[in-house]
Amino acid sequence: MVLKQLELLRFKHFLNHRVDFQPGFNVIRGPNESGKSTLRRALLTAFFGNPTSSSEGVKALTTWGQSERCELRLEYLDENGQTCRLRKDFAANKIFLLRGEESFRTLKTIQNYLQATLGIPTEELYELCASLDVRSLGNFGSLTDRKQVGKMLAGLMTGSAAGQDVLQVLKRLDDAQRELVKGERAAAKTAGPIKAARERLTKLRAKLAETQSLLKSRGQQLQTYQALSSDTVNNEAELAQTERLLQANRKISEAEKRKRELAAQDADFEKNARAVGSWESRATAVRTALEQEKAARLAPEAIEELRTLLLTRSQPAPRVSVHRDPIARILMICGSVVGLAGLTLFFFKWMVGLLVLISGAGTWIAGWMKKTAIREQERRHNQETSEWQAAGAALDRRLHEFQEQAQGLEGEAILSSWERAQSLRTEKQAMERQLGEMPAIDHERWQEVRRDLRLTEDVLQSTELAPLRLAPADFASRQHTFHSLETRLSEQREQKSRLQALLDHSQGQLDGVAELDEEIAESRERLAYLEERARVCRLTHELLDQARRDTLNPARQVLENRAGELFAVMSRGRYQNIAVDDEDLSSKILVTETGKWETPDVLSQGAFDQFYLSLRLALSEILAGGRKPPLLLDEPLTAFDPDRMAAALAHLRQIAQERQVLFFTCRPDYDDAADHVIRL
Amino acid sequence: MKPPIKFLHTADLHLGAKFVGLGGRGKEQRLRLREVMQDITALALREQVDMVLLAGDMFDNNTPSRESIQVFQESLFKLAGARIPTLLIGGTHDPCLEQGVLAQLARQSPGQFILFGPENRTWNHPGKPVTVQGVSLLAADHPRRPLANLRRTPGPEWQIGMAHASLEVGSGSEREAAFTSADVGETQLDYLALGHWHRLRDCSAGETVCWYSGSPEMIALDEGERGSVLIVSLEEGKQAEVQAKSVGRRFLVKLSVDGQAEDKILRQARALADPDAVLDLTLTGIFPPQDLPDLDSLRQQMESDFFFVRLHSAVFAEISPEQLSAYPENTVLGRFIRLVQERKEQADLKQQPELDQALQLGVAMLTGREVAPWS
Repeated sequence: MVLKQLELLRFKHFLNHRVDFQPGFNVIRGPNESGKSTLRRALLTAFFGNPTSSSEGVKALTTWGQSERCELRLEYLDENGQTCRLRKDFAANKIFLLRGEESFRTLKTIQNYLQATLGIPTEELYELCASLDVRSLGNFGSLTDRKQVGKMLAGLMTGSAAGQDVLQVLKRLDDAQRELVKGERAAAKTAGPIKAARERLTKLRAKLAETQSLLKSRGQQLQTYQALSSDTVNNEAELAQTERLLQANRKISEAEKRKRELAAQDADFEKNARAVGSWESRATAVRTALEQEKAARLAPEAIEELRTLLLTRSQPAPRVSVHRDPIARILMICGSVVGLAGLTLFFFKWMVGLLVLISGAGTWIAGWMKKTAIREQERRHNQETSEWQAAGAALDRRLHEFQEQAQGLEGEAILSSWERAQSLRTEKQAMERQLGEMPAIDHERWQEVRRDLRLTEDVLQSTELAPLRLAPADFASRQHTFHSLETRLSEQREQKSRLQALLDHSQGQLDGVAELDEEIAESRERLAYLEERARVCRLTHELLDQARRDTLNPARQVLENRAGELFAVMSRGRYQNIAVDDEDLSSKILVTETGKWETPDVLSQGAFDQFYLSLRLALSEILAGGRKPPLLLDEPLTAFDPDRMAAALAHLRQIAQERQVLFFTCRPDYDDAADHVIRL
Repeated sequence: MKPPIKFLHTADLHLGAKFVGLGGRGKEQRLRLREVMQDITALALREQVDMVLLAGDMFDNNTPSRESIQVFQESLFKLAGARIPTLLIGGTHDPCLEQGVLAQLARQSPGQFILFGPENRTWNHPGKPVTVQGVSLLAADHPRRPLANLRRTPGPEWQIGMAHASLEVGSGSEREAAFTSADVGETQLDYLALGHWHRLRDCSAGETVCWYSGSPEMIALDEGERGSVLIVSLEEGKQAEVQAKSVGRRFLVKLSVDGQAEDKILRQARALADPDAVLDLTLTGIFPPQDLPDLDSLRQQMESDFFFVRLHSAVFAEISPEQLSAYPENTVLGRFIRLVQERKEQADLKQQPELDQALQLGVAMLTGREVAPWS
C-alpha cells in the first residue's frame, strides 16, 4: 500500500486538514503537539476504524466542540497499483471505497479489502509491528504478561492474527467440532447440535409415522364410518318400515278393539231398542185389548155396585113360608086334643089330667108359636118378595144403565169385561213401569256409535292398513325384529359417534402432516448443514494442523534469521543471533562477547529498542506475507547513538524503497534522509 | 340474441398444500391459501358473475384439514347465498372418489354446488342460456383424451366445458399429458375452463376459447408471477373477454449472481426486495478464500426483505498465483492455502465444496476474522 493523501475533517485538533504523502521515506516533522500522533492515529483509524460504531472512543477522536463527528478520506494505491479512495464518515456512520470503477459500501467488504492490502488484520497487530513509537519500543520489553506477548508473536509467526495463534484456532475448531458431535459417540449430559438435530428429526419422523398411521387408520375409520352410515341408513329405513308396520298393526288392533266395543254398544243399543219395542208392542196390545174391553171405562165403584146389584139380583125370591110346615098345625091339633084329653082326664084324675092338660097346652103353644113364626116368615116373605120385586125392578133398571155403559154387555159379562180390563190395566201398568224402568235409548249416541263403527270398519278395510295386517305370530316376530333393530341401531350410533370423535380428532392432524413434512425437511437440511460443518471443521483442523506442523519451525527460523539480520545492521554487527522460543516466542540474544544467550532486558536501552525494532520489523514482514503496509515510526531512534542511528536510518531508507515509511519526528535531523518532508 | 354471460374461472388452489421449500414459513403460506379462497369468493360477489367454475385441484389431497374444508364450505355458502352457482370438478390431487373430500362436501352441503362426477354430464344454468359440461378425474392419473366427451350439442345456448388435464406440448410431454391443441378445437365449445397447470396460459384453438387459469396463489416454488383468476365474459357477436385478476400475494424472484462481493450481492437482491417474494438466489463464481460470500450472513441480512430466501451456492475458492504470492509458504496461512489447493486437485467434484468451505473457514480464523465455525 502506498498512501497518497489523507484528509482529516473534525479529527482531534484538525478541523479540516489535508496531508499529501509520497512513496518512499516520508518525514513528518513538527513541534510537540503539532499533531504527529494525531496523524498516526488518523491513519490507524482510517485503516481499522468502524464508522458505524457509536462508541465513546470514536467520540474522543472528534474535534472538541464539534457537534458532528469526524470524517477521514484516504487516497492510496493498493497492492496492484490501483488508486483507491476510502471514506470513513463517523458522522453519517457510512463507509465508502472506490477502487477503480468499483465502489463498495459495506464495512465488512471494505475491511476485507483493506486487510488484503495491508496484510495485517487488526489495529493491535499493526501497532505491534508496523506502527511503532519510542514509547512502545521501550515498553515492549517491560510488559508483564510475556506469555500473552509470546502468544501474539506465535500467532504472528505462524501467519495468524495477534492473540489467535494457530493453536488457538485449532482449539476453537476442535471445540467446535466436538461441540457439534457431542453425544454422538458417547452419552453426554447435553447433546450437541448434530445429536439434537438428529433426535429432533427422529422425533419428527416418529411423529409423522404416528400421524400417518393415524391417518391410515383414519382411512379405515372413514371406510368403516361410511359403511356404518350406509348400514345405519338401511337399518333406519328398515326400522322405520317395521315401525310403520307395527304402528299400522297397533292401529288395526286398536281399531278392532274399538270396533268390538262399538259393535257391543250397538248390540246393546239394538237389544235395548228391541226390548223396548217388544214391551211397547205388548203394551200397545194390552192397551188395544183394554180399549176393546167394553166395561173398561167403568169405575170400580160402579162395578162394585154392579156386583152388588148382580148379587142382589141373583138372590132368590124370599121363601119364608114357601115351605109351609104342618107341624104347627099338628102340634096345635095334638095339643088341643091332648089338652082336651087332659081336661077330660083332669076330671078323672086331675093330676094326670092336669099333666095331660099341660102337655097338651104346651104342645098347642108350641104349635101356635110355630104357626106364628111361619106366619111371620110368610109376612116377611111377602114383604121381601115385594121388596125383592121392587128391588129387582130397580136392579133391572140399573142393570140396564150398566148395560148401556158397557156397550151392551150384560151382567156378568160386564164384570168379566171389567175384570179383564183390570187385569189388562195391571198388566199395562206393569209394562209401563217396566218401560219406565228401562234405560232411555240415546239415539244420537247410537247413531254416533254406528257411524264410528262404520268408520272403524272403513279404517280396517282401508288400503293403508288392510295390506299391512299381520298375523299375531308375524306381529310378535316383527316386534322382535324391531327391538333387535333398535338395539343394533343404538349400538351403531354409538359406534358412529365414537368414530366421529376419532375422525374429528384425526382431521385436526391433517394439516399436521404438512407441517411435519415441512419441519422434517427443515430439520434434515439443518442436520445436513451441521454434519457438513462438522466435516468442514474436521477437515480445516486436519489441514491447519498439518500446515502448522509444516511451517512452525521454518517460520521460527525465518523470524530468527530476519530479526537477526536487522538487529545486526542496527547494532552495527554487535548482535547477530536471536533465538525465539517455540511456545511463548520469548526471545534471547547471543551476546558475542560472553558467548551467552541473554534475555533482551539485559541489554542497554538503545540495544533493547534496536532489538525490538528489528524483531517487530521482521514480524511485520512475515505477517504481511509479501504485502507492504506503510510503516509508521514515531521517533523510534531517540535512544540510538549516532552510529547506530545512521545505520538504522540507512536501513529504513532501504526498506522505504519497497515499503512506504512515515517517520514522525520533531527534529530536523532526518530531513536529509527523507524522500519527502511534510511539515506540520 | 342470447344474453351475455360472465363467470369466474379458477383451479389448482391446492388447499392444505405443504411447502417443504419454505422452511418455517410453510404454515403461513398454507394459511394464505385459505385467505385466497375467501378473496376469490369476494371477487366473484363483487364482479356479480353468473357462475364460478373450479376446474380441479382446489384441495391438495383428498383428506384436507377441517379448517380447509370449512373455508371452502363458507365460500360455497356465500356464493350459493348470492345465487351464484359454483361448478366443481375433481383434479389429480382431489379426484372424485367416493371417500374423497368432494364427495364428502357434496354429502355435507347438498345443493350448495354442482359437482361433476367421473361421468360426463351437462348442467343447465337456471337463469341464463348456458350449459356446462364437466368431468372429474377419478384417479391421480389422467385418462387418455380427456376432452373426447366434451362436445358441442345442438342448441343456441352458451356451451362451456370444464376439464382437469394436461396439454401435450411437443414430444416431451408429461406422462399424464392427455390432450392436444387440436382436441380443444374439436370440442367446438364456447369456452373450455382448464385446470392442472399452475401458470396462466391461453390454449384457445379453433372456435373454442380455452384457458388454464393457473394457481391463484404460489404453490410450487417456480411461479414467477402473482397468481390470478380469470373473469370471462362471453357476448354474442364479440370476442370472448378473458381478464386475469390478480389475487395471489406470493411469487418467486430468481436471481443469479456471478463472482460478486457480498455487498454487491446484497445490493442486487435488495433491488428486488418484496415482503411477499421468495428469493431464489444462486451464487456462482470463483473467489479468493477470504472473499467467499458468507451464505449464513447473506441469508440473515436478506431475510427481512423477502418472504423467504433460498440460497444456492456454486461458488469456488481459488487463489491466483499472484494472490498466492502474498501468502508465503513459510507461514501457516500460506501453507494451509497450499495444502487445501493440493487436496482440491486430488478431490472429486463432490468434495470440492467442503474443501472450499475449509479454506474459507481456515483463512478467516487465521486472519482473525470473527467467524463462527457453525451457526
